[in-house]
Amino acid sequence: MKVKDASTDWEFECLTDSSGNALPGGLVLKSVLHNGHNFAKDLRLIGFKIETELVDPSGTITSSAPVFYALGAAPFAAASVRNLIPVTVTLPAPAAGTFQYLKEADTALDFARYFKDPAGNYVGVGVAATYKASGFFSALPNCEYSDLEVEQIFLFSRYSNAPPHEPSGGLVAARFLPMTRYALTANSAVDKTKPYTRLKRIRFDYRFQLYLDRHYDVATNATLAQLGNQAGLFADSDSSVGSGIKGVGSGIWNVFNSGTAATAVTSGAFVAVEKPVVLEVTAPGLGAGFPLFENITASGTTSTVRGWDNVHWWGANLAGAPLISTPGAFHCAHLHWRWGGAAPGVGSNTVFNPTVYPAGMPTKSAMKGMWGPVLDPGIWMQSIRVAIVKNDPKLDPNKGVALKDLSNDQWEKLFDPSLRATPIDIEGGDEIVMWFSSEIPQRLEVTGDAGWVSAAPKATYTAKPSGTVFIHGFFFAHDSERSSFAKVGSRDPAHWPMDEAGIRSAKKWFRPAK
Amino acid sequence: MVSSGSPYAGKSRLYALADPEPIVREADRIASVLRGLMGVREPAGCVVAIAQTGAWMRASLKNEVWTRQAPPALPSSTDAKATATKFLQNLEKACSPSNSQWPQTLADYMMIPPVAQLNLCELIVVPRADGSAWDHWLYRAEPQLLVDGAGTTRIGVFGAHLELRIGDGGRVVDFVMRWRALTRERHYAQPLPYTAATENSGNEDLGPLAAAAQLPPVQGYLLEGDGIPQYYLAPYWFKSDGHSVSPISASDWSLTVDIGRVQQGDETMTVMALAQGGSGQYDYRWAVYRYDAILSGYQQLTGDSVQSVDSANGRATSSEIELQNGIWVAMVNVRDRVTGAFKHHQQLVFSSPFSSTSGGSELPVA
Repeated sequence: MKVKDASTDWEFECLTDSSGNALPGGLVLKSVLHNGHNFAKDLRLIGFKIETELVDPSGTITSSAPVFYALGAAPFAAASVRNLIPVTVTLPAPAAGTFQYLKEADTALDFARYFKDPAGNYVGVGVAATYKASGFFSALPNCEYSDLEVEQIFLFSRYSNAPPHEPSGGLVAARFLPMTRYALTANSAVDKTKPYTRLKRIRFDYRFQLYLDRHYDVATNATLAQLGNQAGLFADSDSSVGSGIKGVGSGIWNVFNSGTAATAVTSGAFVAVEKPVVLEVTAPGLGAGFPLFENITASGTTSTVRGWDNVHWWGANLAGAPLISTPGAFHCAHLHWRWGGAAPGVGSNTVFNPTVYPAGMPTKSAMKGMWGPVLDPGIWMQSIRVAIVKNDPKLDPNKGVALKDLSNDQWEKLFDPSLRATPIDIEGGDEIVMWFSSEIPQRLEVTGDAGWVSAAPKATYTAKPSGTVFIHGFFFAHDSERSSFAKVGSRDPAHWPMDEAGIRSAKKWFRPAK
Repeated sequence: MVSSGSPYAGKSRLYALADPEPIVREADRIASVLRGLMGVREPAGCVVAIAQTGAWMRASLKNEVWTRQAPPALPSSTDAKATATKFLQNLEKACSPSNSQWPQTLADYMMIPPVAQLNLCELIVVPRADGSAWDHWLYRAEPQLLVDGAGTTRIGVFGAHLELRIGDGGRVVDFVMRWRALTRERHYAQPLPYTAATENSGNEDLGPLAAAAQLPPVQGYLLEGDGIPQYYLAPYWFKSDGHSVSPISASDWSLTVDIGRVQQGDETMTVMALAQGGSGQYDYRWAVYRYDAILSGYQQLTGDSVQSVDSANGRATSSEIELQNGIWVAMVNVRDRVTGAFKHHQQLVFSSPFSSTSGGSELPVA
């Protein structure tokens, strides 16, 4: 199904069968452009993994092996692909004079003046499909859930400055929201006085083959090099305050690696940058909702790592030519799942301080309301992982690789070491692919610590039975990096605190921000 | 032109935006003009789209951009630039009353940003995704407008953009214009100088990004974008803090709005909107929608609580409203009761899993 929306100027192809149903695997979008600028070659959810555990009233808990599911295939019923069509926003100009009208009348405040149909979709174009599986959990003994419904909503917004993409509102872009909403139905017949099955965690694995145009500032077209795309990893600075929260009982990085439960703690005060990414990378984002957490390596050692906050993606240029501007990145795909100190003035506030005042309020420093993980609050304890990998036929679903083979029980092992033991150099640009995973543990115990002031109450937090993943979306900006507004950023490479030489010599896939 | 002795000499210009609806009504005639300029007679040879919302335009020759079978023969950059310049000059002429065929209903509209004032950002060559050939030259220009009452200083329009692609045989094969037409109406506002932020900058170590935080602010008009209610263009200061770029008011009609969560309960949260840059006396209206329930539309909210608060710019009226816990896009319309300045603002807001009353003590600074 070819979609070309005249009102937003997004265009893409959505693969379906001859009946208009989603193919096994769910929505697959190809050749995605906005305003004639390439954004992606292939966008999809690979599938999801569910891990359950059997709880005995005596307290014994036995975990099962994770099971992979692809949407659009059994046990889900066939799902038709729906088109999401945007409604026109009315932008009136008073005939008698704009400024006089605004001075004299307050009707400009009425939303119905612009958004005439309260039921209308004013955001953008997209496709959606709903997958239902009655009795999804019925094979499990005495399970707390019975059915599962998953909805994919791939939404492309208009190109604008609102809602602000960056906290400060200084980036014009269109959003791509590849949302996955799931809803678990409680089993009214479950008897918890007997051994029963409960959900332990659910993990959604995406593959995004982004492709942004390369722009060459050359006088002639004499040379043509295949340089592909580059990516950058950034971690925003937070407060200088020490940690505040310690969570246990949740697998964080080595999530499906039994016996490797990790703990989560909060922020530190630093910035980390890898612009552009030097070698292929598996990069932690969040550990159970927290940006700083303890990671257990394959060899069993524990280290506290700081996850990255965002990924940027752009068309590579010739060696030595300027990169995207930082801040700014005016022709770039942005992916932010968390805002650290990007909003100024967080020096005396905690990551999870619930009092988040608007800008300009001197009572608390401005945190602009967007600070913190941009996650569905009902399933806030998500672990986010990203990998940036050279496209390889062994990991390409377009080359016949089965979806189940693109989702490892231990997510990062798909790349390290299964793909190759040593990450290869992608700094100069290559045909690279972003792999993104979001995992929701069903229970997270926050214990605090005697030496720490807890911003989060000590408690066991439980994920809600429904939620939406990828609510933060991507931003696709495609303005010139040389407008007068681009003069506020730096277009140089930046590698910090680990420098480029250090990254090369270490040759590690797993590179946290710190 | 305003003389330096006029009462507007020390003021900032505001430009009224035109109603796009008459432009959309004339879409066929505008499409005909664009096809003529691109050397195509048959509608099938050139797809022209004029967006219903905002009347942004695109004209694209069929099977030329990305999909041309034979690799294009591109001109030199000098010739490509000359082609683009000529196209824009002709377009400006064609979309004005000097063209007898131009619709009378649009006679008072500045459909095209002043071509003589465009800032040519770049002319770059773009290869195909598979690296098999160069596909086209991309010409990008930033609209600029006079900002001071005396008419001596031009500044860019943030959010506006003109792009042309020059392809095979040196033809314009694609034209994109992100621009809202202006009326002839102007207003002159009190300019506000840039003052460094007074907020606590924390103890951040910006590392290699620190240099960007030292760069001076840039003044520009702000075009909010497609589908965003906006009545006029007003000037803002754009300043980097090392992380991101912030628009800051540059006139008393250049409002900014921010929303924050000020109270978190077990079931609901309270969010506050605060406008800045104007008189301090503001009226607010609220609505919300959800990305993951986009087909449910939006919901207007009532029952907000208005109060006067201390802000960085003095006393100001803020508005608080209670929302169910969750993740929302909050929409706020704000009007300055004294000047009439207007701002539509949207912002993603989400609840915290931790209640204000059951913890959340602030950590001491290390």
